Formats: sequence, structure tokens, C-alpha cells
Amino acid sequence: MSSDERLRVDARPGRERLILELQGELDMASSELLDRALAGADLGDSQAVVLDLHGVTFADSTGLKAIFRARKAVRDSGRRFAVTQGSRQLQRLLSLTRLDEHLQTIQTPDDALD
Amino acid sequence: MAMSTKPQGARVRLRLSSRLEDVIVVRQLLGGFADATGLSAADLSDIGTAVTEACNNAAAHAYGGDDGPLAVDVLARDAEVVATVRDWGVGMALDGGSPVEFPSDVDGELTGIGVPSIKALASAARWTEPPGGGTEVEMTFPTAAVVRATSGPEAELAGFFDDEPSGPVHAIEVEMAPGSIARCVLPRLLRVMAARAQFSVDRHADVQRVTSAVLGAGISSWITRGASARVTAVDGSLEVAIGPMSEEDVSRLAIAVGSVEPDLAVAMEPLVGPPRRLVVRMERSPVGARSPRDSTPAGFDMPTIEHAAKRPGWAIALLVETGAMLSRSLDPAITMSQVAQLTIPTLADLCVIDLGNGEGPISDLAAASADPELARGLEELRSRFPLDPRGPHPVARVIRTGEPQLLSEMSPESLQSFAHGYAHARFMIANRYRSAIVAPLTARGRTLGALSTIRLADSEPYDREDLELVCELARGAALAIENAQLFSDLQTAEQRLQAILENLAEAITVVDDTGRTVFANEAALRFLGLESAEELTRSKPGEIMSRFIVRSESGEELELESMPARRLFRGEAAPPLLVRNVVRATGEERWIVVRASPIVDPESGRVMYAANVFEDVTEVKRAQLAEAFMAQASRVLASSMDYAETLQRIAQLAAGELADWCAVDVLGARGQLERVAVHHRDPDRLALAEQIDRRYRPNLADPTGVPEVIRTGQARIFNDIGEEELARYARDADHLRLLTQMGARDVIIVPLAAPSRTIGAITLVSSREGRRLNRADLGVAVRLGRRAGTAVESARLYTERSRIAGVLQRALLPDSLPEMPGFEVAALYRPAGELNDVGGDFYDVFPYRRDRWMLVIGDVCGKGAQAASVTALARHTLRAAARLETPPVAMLELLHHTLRSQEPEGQMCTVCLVVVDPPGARPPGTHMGLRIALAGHPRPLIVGPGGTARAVGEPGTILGMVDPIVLNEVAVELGEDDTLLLHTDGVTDAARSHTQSALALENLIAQVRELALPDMLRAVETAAVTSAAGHPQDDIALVGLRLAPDPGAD
Repeated sequence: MSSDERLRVDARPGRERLILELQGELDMASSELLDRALAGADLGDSQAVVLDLHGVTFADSTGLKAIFRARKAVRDSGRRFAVTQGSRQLQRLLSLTRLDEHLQTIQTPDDALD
Repeated sequence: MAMSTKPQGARVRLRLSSRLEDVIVVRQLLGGFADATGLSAADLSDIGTAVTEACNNAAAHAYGGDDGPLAVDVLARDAEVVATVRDWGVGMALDGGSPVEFPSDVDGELTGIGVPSIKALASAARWTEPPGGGTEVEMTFPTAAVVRATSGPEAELAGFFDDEPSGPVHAIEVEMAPGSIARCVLPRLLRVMAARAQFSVDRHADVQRVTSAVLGAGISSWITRGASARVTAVDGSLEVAIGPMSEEDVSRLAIAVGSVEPDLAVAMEPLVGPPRRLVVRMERSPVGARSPRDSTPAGFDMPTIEHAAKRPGWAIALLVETGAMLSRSLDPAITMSQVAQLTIPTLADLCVIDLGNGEGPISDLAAASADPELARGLEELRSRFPLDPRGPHPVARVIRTGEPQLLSEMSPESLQSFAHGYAHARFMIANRYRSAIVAPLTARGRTLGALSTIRLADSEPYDREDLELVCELARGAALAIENAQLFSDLQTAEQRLQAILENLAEAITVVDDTGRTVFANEAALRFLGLESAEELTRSKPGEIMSRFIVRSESGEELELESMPARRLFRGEAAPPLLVRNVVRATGEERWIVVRASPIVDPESGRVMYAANVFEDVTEVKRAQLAEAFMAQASRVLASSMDYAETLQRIAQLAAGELADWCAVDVLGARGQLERVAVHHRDPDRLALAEQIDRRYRPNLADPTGVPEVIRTGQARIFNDIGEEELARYARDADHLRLLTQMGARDVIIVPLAAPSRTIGAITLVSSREGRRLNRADLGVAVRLGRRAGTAVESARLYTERSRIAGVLQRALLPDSLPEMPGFEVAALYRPAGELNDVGGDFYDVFPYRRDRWMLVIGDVCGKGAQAASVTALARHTLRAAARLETPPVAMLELLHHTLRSQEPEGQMCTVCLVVVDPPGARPPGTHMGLRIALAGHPRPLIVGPGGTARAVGEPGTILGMVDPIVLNEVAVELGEDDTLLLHTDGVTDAARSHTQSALALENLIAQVRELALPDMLRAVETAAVTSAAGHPQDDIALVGLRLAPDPGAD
């Protein structure tokens, strides 16, 4: 099974933002896809990027790293960065590693940002 | 290491590469494992995350991104899962004990989250370097669920965990114990691997069908050995090696798989077993119809099955068919003749099977040939000339040695050399015996006989490969004989088992999955109250159970579905269940432990029947309950000295635990019966019981019931009280009506027995629908009566003694203080505890030397009557001495000598004497003279106008203890606004315990000096009591003195 089938990243414009919708498993084998999707995305004049993690069924530490690589890239470009809640497993890993403290989490990808 | 742990529970082990795609498989297989063991989603999520992190670590660090072998072991047992991940790469030397730390700078490259995540997810994580190098991390997770699929110690896996794979890892290997886990794990593994081999959707469905066939084949070897599978996905094909299993299972599985996809490539490995694996290979596209007898399938040359591939397809089919045949028949004769037949004509022109174990005679079992005449001829020959087990015939030699023989070319001379006489030699020569193989029939190390294949005339002579094949065939045949023997043994065993079951004391039933009882032994029939087994087997499911009220230990009624047998059929764990069984019809109660064990169909693995064993633990349980009840009752009885309240609680306890209704009657002071406690579970009936008692309270002279028990001291039990008995007992029609309404079925009356006499009776009653009272309950009730009687009696005595002590104490203290003109004087006494023994504190105020006064406060050591007598002695000695105008120090000396001359010795006392000068001697505005003498007593306080308190007097020796004593009289002045406070150490002790300060009392007084004298004393007392948390250990006595306000001073 290739990583393409296990993780899908779709980019779509949202409310003054770009939404990257992730579906599948975000791990060592697939996290690169997120990097590529972000690199290839047309950020245009969007002010923020939201990773929609609703569809992420599993993530490991390499997946977390990918999320934070995205966060850094987005913030370095002067945009804001937020995520939506992932599966229970992902939430648990984020809170265990205390990385959730560094992420703005919104309910739906179009929710207002702080 | 995880390996050394007990293999109880369920276990799955994997060996794979550290490639990313393999690591993903680990998680998927864990999902299957969770399904099999009942692990919760939350637990699975944590374990999956941690195992993934451990694999990531191995891939990234141990192998630096290259491929390397990984082993994963997951063991679920009790309430924990232990997961171990091992690699053979560069040791990571991780310290598992370091604290969990996560990066705070999240903008850099996040590193080192993996290990802390593992530590946070697992309750324990340990990194070690195992023998052979690399790193092993063992992670423990507490789990919510109990493991569902359990295996015994015999299911320990053979284990590839510790061995480093010799080359690159291409396959994913999985081992599972118990083998039943394969149902959940194997389909996932094959699905993933088929995807990896890029199978089409249709072909995926084929894989699924083959998987189902494998799992449905009922590989019984897996039950004891666990299951293992090696799956390889290469070049568009999927190869699965499944095992380990017996020869029989291999053939069964080959047939099952073949029935789904007939031209599937199958092989066995190793060539000589058992245990064996069946290798199944599926191509990306189905192979076209091809007869396995014609050729081996193309591409059937993977390294694992290379050996098998050399064998012609027909040979494999032959072996597979042999195996299949063995499982079809349990009649050895038929089976053997079929096996012999199989070898014709491909392998032999003539085949014969002889039985013998090297000791007894060799008997012919079967012969087969393309020419029936030839086979019959040989059979006839063998019956006429049986083989000599010690003779030179190859069959005899093979049976003796257990070694096969290849007789490639047989000359007439060699045939003659072992022939049994002329007829035998002629038969062989005439039929042109040319080449033969004789293989031993060996099963489980025992030689049962020999299988001979013979080629005649122009047929090709046998070679070594044929020898190998025949040997294998013989092994299969031997297995069949063994099976047949076992089967016959089993039949005998079954008959024996039946006999044993019939005679067992425990009740045993066997039920099927519809709940129908198909077997019940004698004990079970008795237990269920049935006449015959027919009555039972005729009954509908659940019908038997409805005859009983079945309750759990905690008392709730149980449904049929919660019984262990039903749980087994639902595939749940069925631990032994303790139930309280009440026969609806009779009310008879038994405590039963119900155990159920599954009887599993070896073919399908389905639970066909459940065997119930009912163990009657009534006696044990009753004894246990009685002990628990008595312990509880003892606690209640010891909890309070208020016996009316205590008995009420006992009645409640007994009405809850033993009976439905409990009453306690006590013999009053004038010989009348008093109901002191009553309780009924049902409040309406309680009211009724009270009404009966009010209107028809028994007289002590009544012939039966409570009066009789009190008179005789003998406990009584009345079972199944009928109308007649009630009528006899009732005083009138209305009484009878009320008693009938109460609905008593069994009654126990036991004496409330004090050590010396019967002081009352406890009555226990069970009502119609409640539980029965029996002789065991009577025993408990008698013990209760004795325990409660003793407690009541001692409570009574205690109360009485306290009352006496109180009276005595008051007698030792002045009723009221005399009027002291020009002074205000007040005293306060508080005994410690309400029902305590009389304490030793005393005080007194009396005139001294005409115009003076003397204040006395003292404390006699000890409590009770002894202390009271010393108090009386002290008080009266001092008064008498005072009348003789003895100086204070001499008064104390007198008391000291009096105490020293008393029996028993060692009676001690502290005293403080204060001589108060007459007020008339005092010019207005001046201080008042006091003289203080102390003997071991706390120094009195003078509380000044500013709230300052100073202790006055010089400490002296306690009286009655040692000689000589040192006493001093000290003159002290009391100012107009001063208060003199005499106190006993009960005050200072209590105050000190609160503030930990010797000055506590002084501080206390400073706050209350503005109060009127009696209020001030009360305030001191209250403060002292409060600081001792309401329970001062000692008595408190206080005497206060002030100058009366000068009437002319205004």
C-alpha cells in the first residue's frame, strides 16, 4: 500500500484562509505528503492556513513533526496557523507531548481565529 | 525480557522489516489482536501509538533509515498488555528512567518526541540491550478489559523473536497464541499484503475466500501449538505459509483451500514433518485450469518451497489425498485398503500393509493391485504363511528396525532368500516381483507395521526419491492407525467418563446452545428436584431455571442469560458464579458455585455444548455468612453502652441478614416483659408487629414462646408454622387474625443470655415469601443471643456503676459553698465523660481559726471507688485538722502520714491549701493576705486587672508517695481587682493539649477576667473542654475567689 492511499491532503480556500484537509494516517510513511501539499499550495492573499485534522485517524510523532513544520512555515510567511481537532488518538498524543499548548485548535476549519 | 514471562493470556508476535510499509502493518495487526482479545479502542490506540514510536525509533536510529529486521511481541494478560519491540541495529542506549520531557521550542526541528511519548503512554517502559545486540523496548499498558482469548502454558510460541534473521527480511511473519487469534489477525495481514502485491479488487475477493477457507478448515493443531503465518508479497504474487500443524491438518487445509481455488499452488514444508506448514501461493491473476497431476504450477520455485517443487504434482496430490482419507474414516481396515489402493498404479503395481510391533505376530491388513487376483492371492498367501517377526523377510526386518528398505532390483535369488517357503517364493517369482520399498508405519515413535510397495516386471525400479515418498505415505497411514486406536480408546474413555459423571457427588449437566439439557447425572437430577433424566430432557430451555429463584451473592435476581453456560455460547469469559438458589416451591435455599466449560467442535471451533458443574457450598457459605454476621453484630454491640439503641441496631441487622423480622424482649425490673427493639423489612408489617405486641404482650407465665425461652433458657425453632399452631398460640380470634396477617413461616426464639441469667429473648421470624430459617440459623441466633445478652448485662452494670459513682462523687463535694462575707467565691466540678468512673478531684471551703477561711482543692490519683475513698479520707482529714487549728503545712503533713499508713499502699494525693485572712483586717484599698501551701498540686493563679495571670505559691511534694516531703507556706497578696483561681490539672492538661504551651491556662484566663466569677469559671471549663475536643481525659475542678466590691468604695 503506498503512502498516497493512506493519506490524502486536499487544499481548498476558506474564509480568508487556505484549508488543508487531511484524511488518513499521518505517520513516518505519509507525513511528507503534508510538506509537499503545503509547499505546492497557492497561499495567495490568504491570511491563515488551517489544517483540518478531522479525518486524521492516526498520527505518530513524525506526524506531529509534520504538523509543526507546517506551523513554522505558515507563521514564517506571516500568516496565522490553526488546526481542527483530530481523532481521540491524535488529541491524546498532542496533549501527552504538551504540543497542544502551541496549537490554536478550532472547531470547524472556518471558525474565527484569535 | 518479555520472553521469559508466562505465556498465559493471548500473544501475537511479528517479524518484519523496519520499512515504513511494514510498520504500518504492525498497527493493523494490533487492531486484529484487539478484536480477538476484547481490548478497548482507547487501549488499542495507546498501544498502537507507542509501538509505532518504538518501530520508528528502530527504523530511524537503530538502522539509520536502512532496512533491518524488527520483532514485535504483544502479550495481553489479566489487565495489562506488554508490548516489546526489538531490533538488531545500533544500540540506542536509552535510559528508560529519565523523566519525561517534551520540547518547549516547537519552531525548530522537533526531535526526541518519540521516546517521551512512549513513556507517557505506557505505565512502564524499559530499554535494554538483548543478547545478540540491538535494542529492546518493553512497554507495559494497564488495560480496562480482561483478555478474552486465553491460552494455556502449552501454547508458548516456538519463537523467532530472539533469532536474528539471516538475510534481508522480505516476508512478514506472525505467530499467535492461542491459534484462534488467527481469525482476527490473518485476514488483515493478507488484505494488506494482497494490496502490496497489487492485487485487483476481484483478486482481493479471492484472497478473502482463500483466507476464509483456511480459517474455516478447523486446524486443530493451532489450539495447542498456536498459529503462525509467513506472508510474502513479491512480483505480483502472494505467498502464505501457514502452520504449524499436523499432517492431518495439512491435508485437510490443502483440500479446503483447493475447494475454493482448485488450481492454487500448494506445497508443504518442511518435507518431513510434523509439524508442518502449508504453503499457498496466489498469483495476481488466477492461474488457468491446470491439472496438478500434470505439472507443477509455473513460478512455483520460491526459495521456501524449492524442495517441494521437485516432487511431481501427482505425488503431492497423493499425499494430500492420503491425509484427507485419514480424516474421513476411523475404521483402520477400510482406511488402509484405501491407502493401499491410492498407490496403484502410479506408485506401485502391488501394495501391501502389514501390522505388527516387532513382538507379536505380523498380521495382514490390506493389499491392493491393479489386478484384483494378484491382491487376493497375496492376502491368501499371508494368511496361510504368516510372516515370522524374527525372520529375514524385509517386512519383518523393517518392523524390527524401524528403518525403511529400498529393494531396487530383486533377483529371484534374493526373493527366495527371504521367502516363507516354496509357495511364497513361487508367488513372488511368478508375479515377477522386481523392485520394492518397505517403509515402517511409525507414529509417535512407535512402529505399528510396514507399508510395502512393489513394482513388477517391466515397471521402472524404485529410486531414493520414491523411497522418500513411500515413507511419507507410510507416516500418514501410521497416523490413521494411531487415530483409529485413539478413537476406540476414546469410546472406552467416554463410557468410563459417563460412569464417573453418574457417580460424582457434584451435579453435572450438559446443555446445548439452545439451552436444552442433553445430559444430567444423578446428583444433578436430585439437585434440580427431578424424577428422571427424561423429565429434564423433555423440558423446554429455561423451564428448569424458572423453578428456582436464583440470586447473585449481592442478592439481585439473575437471568438465565447471565449463567456461565450462556456466556460461553456468547463467546464471553465465564468465570465461576456463586449463586443463592431458592427452590420456589419449598423455599429451600442452597448456595451453589456454577462452573461451565465449553465442549468445542474441533472442526468449526464452535461451542457446541456447555458442561455445568454445580457445587453445593451451602455449608461453607452459611458458616462464612454467620461469621460475617457475628462480626458485624459484635461491632454493633461494642459500639455503644446505650443498650436500648444497641439492641435496636441488632434487630435491624438480624432482620436484614438472618430473617425478615426480629424482636428483642427484655425482662424488666419487676419481672414484666418489655419489648425493647423490633424491626421488620416491610414497614407495614413492622407496624403490625408493634400492634400485636401492644395488644397481646406475652406474660412471663405463658406456656410457649418468648416466656418459655426466658424461663428455660432453651432456644426454640418452629418450622412451617401452620394455622393450627397459630390458633393454639393466639389468645383470641383477633390475635389469630393479626398473627395470620404477619405471615410467619419459621420462628426462632433464643435466650438473651447474660453470664449468670437469662435477661430476655431474641425472636427471629421468616415470613411466607422470604427465606427459610433452619438449624444452622438457630446456631447463629443462639450465639447472637449470648453475645447480645452479655453486652446488655455489662451495659446495665456499667450504667449502674456510673450512677453510683456519680452519687458518691457528689457526696464528696460540698453541696454548696458557705457564704464568705466580703468575698465572692465560686466552684465548679466537671467529671470527665458522662458515664465515667468517679474521678479524684475535690474541693472544699470552710472556716479556719475563727475569722479566717480555708480553700482546699486537691486531686487523688486514680479513679473509681478506690479514689473516692481516698477523696473522702483527704477531705475529712483536712477538715478535722482545720478544726484543731493546725497550720496548713502541718495539715498536709498529717494527710501525708495518714495516706502512708493506709492499705493498700501508694495512695497519693495533691492538695493546695489557701488560708484567707479576714476582710476586716484589711484597710480599704489595700491588698488582702493569703497564705498558700502546695503539695504536688499545680500552683494557683492570680489574675490581675490587666488580664495578666501569675502562678503563686511554692511547689511542694505530692502526698502519700515518698518520705520526706518538702512543703512551704507562702504569703501572697490579693489585690482588689484580682481573682484567685485554684484548679486541678484537668484544666491545664486540656488547655495544654490544645496549645502546646504551659502558659495556655494563663492566656485563657486573661481573656475572661472581665466576667462575673461563676461565668469566668464556666468559660475556663468550656475552653478546656473544647480544646480537648469535647472529651477531657481528666476531671476538672475550679475554685475562684475575689474580694467583694467594697460597698463603701463608690
